Amino acid sequence: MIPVSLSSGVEPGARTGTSVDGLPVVVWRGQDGTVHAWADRCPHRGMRLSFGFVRENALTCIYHGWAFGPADGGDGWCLSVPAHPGMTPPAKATVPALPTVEALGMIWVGTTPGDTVLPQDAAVGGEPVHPVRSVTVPVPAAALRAAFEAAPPPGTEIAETSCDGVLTFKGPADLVIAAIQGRGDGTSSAHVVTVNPGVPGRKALCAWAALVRDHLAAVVLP
Amino acid sequence: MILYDNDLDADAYPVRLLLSVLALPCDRVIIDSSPLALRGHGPRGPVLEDDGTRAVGAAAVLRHLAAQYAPNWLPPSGDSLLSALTSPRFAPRQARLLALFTAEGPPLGLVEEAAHRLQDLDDHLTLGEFDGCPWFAGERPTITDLAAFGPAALSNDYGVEHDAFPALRRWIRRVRALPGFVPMPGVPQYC
Repeated sequence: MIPVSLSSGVEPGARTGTSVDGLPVVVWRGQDGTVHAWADRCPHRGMRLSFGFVRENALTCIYHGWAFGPADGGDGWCLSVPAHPGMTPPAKATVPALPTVEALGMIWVGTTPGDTVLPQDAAVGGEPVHPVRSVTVPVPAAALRAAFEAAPPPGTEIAETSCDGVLTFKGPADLVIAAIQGRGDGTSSAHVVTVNPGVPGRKALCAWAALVRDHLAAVVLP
Repeated sequence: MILYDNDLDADAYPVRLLLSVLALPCDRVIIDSSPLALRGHGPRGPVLEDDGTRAVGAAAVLRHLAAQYAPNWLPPSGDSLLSALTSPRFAPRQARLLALFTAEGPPLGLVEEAAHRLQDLDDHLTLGEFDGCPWFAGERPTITDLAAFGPAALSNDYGVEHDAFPALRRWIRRVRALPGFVPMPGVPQYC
């Protein structure tokens, strides 16, 4: 699975577009708190659903107001078509859903049906985590990972348990996780959390992540 | 009180927002403030006439309205950010105008600079949220938030989305939830 956002990045009633290995994805959260990741394309006219809006537990397309809700199978099913209020929406008006899991204070999306397995180190022994921030850079995931590995947060070292998608930094007083999202278009994001709830520490981690981001951006866009 | 502006003019949008949020009665005169009508002299932005006072440009009008009618909407500690946001040279504004009014659109470098300015806003809000400050100038909304809203919410007009700016997205939802919020073309009523 690939992380697409901190959990705090998509509040109840909010939606955003993102990209998972080149696939445009809309991530949205119903008022019931459940988060969904769907193909970012309305089956009616192809409009991006991430331009739409959330009402209750449905995502509505901004173009013609077709509303889609999660069906039992997970895919988005058309609930209503405003231009034809008496019509039963056609069964094929569905939006493919991607497997979605919330863990480690992040939203994870599977890239294939049934992919609900988190990367190996995506665990902190059950400790609660606290959001730091996400950063997005104009370089592929491998370069972002290398930049983080080369410059761990002050007072921490990269842990041996780190894997491709999830970097773990351990220090005497902190444990920081940076989960990497490759977008498939030459850009990538890192979603950073920590087990340390202290505000000064998290603000320092914010500055650290932004420093790595700005360094990478300056290399690519001098 | 008379406001000279245009619904399509994003420079005047923060003024329309403030008038609506404060529920201030104001007559409006629609003027053609597009760059085409002004023949390259650049838009002068909204003009407000209020009881013998004449304020020209969004920043001046916002400052006048807040000082006269709602001092709690003035930023508590200076408003250099307000000046930057309402400057004719603010990259998100320039990029959007070139996207809307020229065939070739904004140069790539300008779009990148505009994205960097949005990144600056996102960074500011990201740090502020840790300190319990969900607005640009602290714990409550000010005219700086209204001046920032248009450039942030209209960035799709030149192809910059909010995917990379989570704190900006949260703040946009806060502004939209203000009682009296009004949309403008490019800012949907729903969302």
